[in-house]
Amino acid sequence: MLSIIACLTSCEPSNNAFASKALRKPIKIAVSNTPLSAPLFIAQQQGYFEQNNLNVELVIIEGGVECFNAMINHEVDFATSSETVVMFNSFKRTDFSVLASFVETDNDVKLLSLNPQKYKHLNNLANARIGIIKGSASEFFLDSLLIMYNKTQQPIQRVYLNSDQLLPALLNDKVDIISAWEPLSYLLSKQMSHSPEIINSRGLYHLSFNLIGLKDSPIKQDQKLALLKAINESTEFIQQHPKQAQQVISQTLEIDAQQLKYSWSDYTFRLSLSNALFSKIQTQSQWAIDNQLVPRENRVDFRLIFDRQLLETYTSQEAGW
Amino acid sequence: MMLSKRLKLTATLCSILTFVVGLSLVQVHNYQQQIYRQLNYSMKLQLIIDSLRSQLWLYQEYTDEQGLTELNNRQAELAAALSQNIDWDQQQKLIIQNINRLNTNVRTLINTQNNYHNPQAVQPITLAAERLFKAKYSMVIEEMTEEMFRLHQLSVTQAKTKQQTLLWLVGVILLILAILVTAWSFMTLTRFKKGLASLNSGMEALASGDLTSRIVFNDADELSALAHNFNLMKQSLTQITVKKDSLKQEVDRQTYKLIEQQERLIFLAEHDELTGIFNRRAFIKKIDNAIARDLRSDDQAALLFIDLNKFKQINDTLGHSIGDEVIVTIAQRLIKSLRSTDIAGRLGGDEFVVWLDLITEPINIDQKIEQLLNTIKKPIKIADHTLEVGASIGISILPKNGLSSRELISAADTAMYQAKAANHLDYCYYAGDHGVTILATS
Repeated sequence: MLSIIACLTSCEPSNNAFASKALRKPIKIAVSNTPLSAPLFIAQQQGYFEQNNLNVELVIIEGGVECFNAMINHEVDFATSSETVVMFNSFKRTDFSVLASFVETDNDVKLLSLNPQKYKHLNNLANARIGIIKGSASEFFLDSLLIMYNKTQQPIQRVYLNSDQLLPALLNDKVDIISAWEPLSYLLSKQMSHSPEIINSRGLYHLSFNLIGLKDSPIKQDQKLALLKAINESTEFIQQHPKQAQQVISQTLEIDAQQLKYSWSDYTFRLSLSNALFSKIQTQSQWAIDNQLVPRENRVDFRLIFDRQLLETYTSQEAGW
Repeated sequence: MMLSKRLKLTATLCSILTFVVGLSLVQVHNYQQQIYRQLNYSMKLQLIIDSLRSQLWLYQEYTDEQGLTELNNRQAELAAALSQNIDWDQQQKLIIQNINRLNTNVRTLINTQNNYHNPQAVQPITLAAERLFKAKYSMVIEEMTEEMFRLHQLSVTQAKTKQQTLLWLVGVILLILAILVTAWSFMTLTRFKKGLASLNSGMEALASGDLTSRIVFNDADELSALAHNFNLMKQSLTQITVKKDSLKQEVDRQTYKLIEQQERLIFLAEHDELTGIFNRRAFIKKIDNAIARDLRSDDQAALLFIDLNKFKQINDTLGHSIGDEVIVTIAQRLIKSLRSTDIAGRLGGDEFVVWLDLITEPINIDQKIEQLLNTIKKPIKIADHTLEVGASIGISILPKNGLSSRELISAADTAMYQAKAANHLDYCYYAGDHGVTILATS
């Protein structure tokens, strides 16, 4: 027993030496300032990167689109963004790849109204003014719902807004409904005595957050594997210590703890890269094509932007196969 | 420590060891059961999910009442299976929750599709919706499969970790306990052997007669108590032996004293107190033996009865002490003049008797008497006095004058009186009751 401890103690300096070597070349990851990026913040805070001999610098950027752009501009090595960002960018380039998805929520985007009863089950939508962000998950979600609820024939009025205009527009009666993601639902619910959701859309739309890297990245395979390992350890920590994780995210992103708690149970933190994501991106791309958000003639082979081998190698390594 | 305590402790340690082994086996069994249950259960879940996937596909192909019922059954089956409590830990529970949530998602999608779309109506919008729903179903089922893989992976990893931890823990505890029990047993054995060896050597020493050595002991156990008692016993034994020896010495001393006294008494009983020569009784006893021997070998012997002359005068004029010294001197002179086979004795006062053994010729008696007379008559110097005494000697011959001491003494006494009566005779042979044979004149 003592010899094992002695061995572990003696091994430590070499690890430190290795770590200090890694310190010279920090791996930069652009992280969107949303609780969905929790696994990366937790990995940083719990020291999982260091434990896996990685020197990681998290660059917090507003929104997944900007994170993606930072990566394309070689300002960072990796980015985190939603599958919608991936889908739109796939039409422009294929020099990046999705390495893994680390979180998913089936209840992030919602249709909100100050008078939800009126629009319950998507009734009375005729001539309703719906505030949406053009070409985003907000619009895709609305269109999906309209198809699923067979309301595509309804003459709705689409009001295109910026993300920070959605809530004021609703409150100032410029729109009747907004299609928005968290934390707008939470913020609105605080001002109302009842739930602002006009429909329980849980399970109808899945949003994921993914780790994306450039194909010609100088980051070596073993470092990428170590990165996946650190993120996986972080998701395990989140599962085992949800309260502590929320506390860390609340402090890191300066988000009210109550707000975080409101949507935390909707998140499923896990590493994956399955056909579910593939299917999601493909469905969204079809929608984008149908709505002429992307050039119709430009067909994309999404297989090119999925680096399945990395996660499969990691999974095999972890399972000891 | 007491040996009984040592043995009790050994027994306790063995009991703990047995208990721990038993407990570990039970624990291992429980863990294994839990792992089997979890793996078995996750296989069941996998099967139900696969069945749900098939049913969903069928439902997409045949969107009818039967398909819906089947789908509802599969979903209910999955929900029922997910609600079972299988000792999941937090992470596994989270996965089960997620599968449950995905199952609910499927339900929401089915309900939405069912409520808002008429499968019979072939419209572009319905086709688009079908495509969307199909993709959604596929996504959800795919995610369920992913979650199931995670559940498997987690269960296997946890089983491995748990079993390894348990194995380590049980191994370390058992090893420590086993080492403890073994070491303790060896210590007890060593103490036992050492104690018994000490006792054995102590007993061997005692058996070989060593009463002085003691068993050395440092502990405070039963063997030490035994050794202590053994030492006490040896001490008592030493004391008893010492007493016995001194008693024996005392007895020997007293016995010697008694023998000495006895010898002294015998001497006193047989010898004349003044001169140290035989007294009357001893003399008679001695000559009785000599008579018997002479008679057997047919030898002759003579008995002289000597009565000193002029002694009374010395005694009266010079005192008893001078008289006694005269008597002693005469006795010494007689002893010096006799052979070893001859016997001299004092009958009392100034009367002496001499036994001349083995006389071959009568002439020899005369010579001897002459020699004795000369010796007696020699001057005696006592202090400032030079004294002279004479003697009258009566002689009786064995076997001629008697065959017993009494007869011979009596005869010699008679002859002595006869010699004394005849003033001119120094000695006289006994010649029967009617006369004496005059042999010599002074």
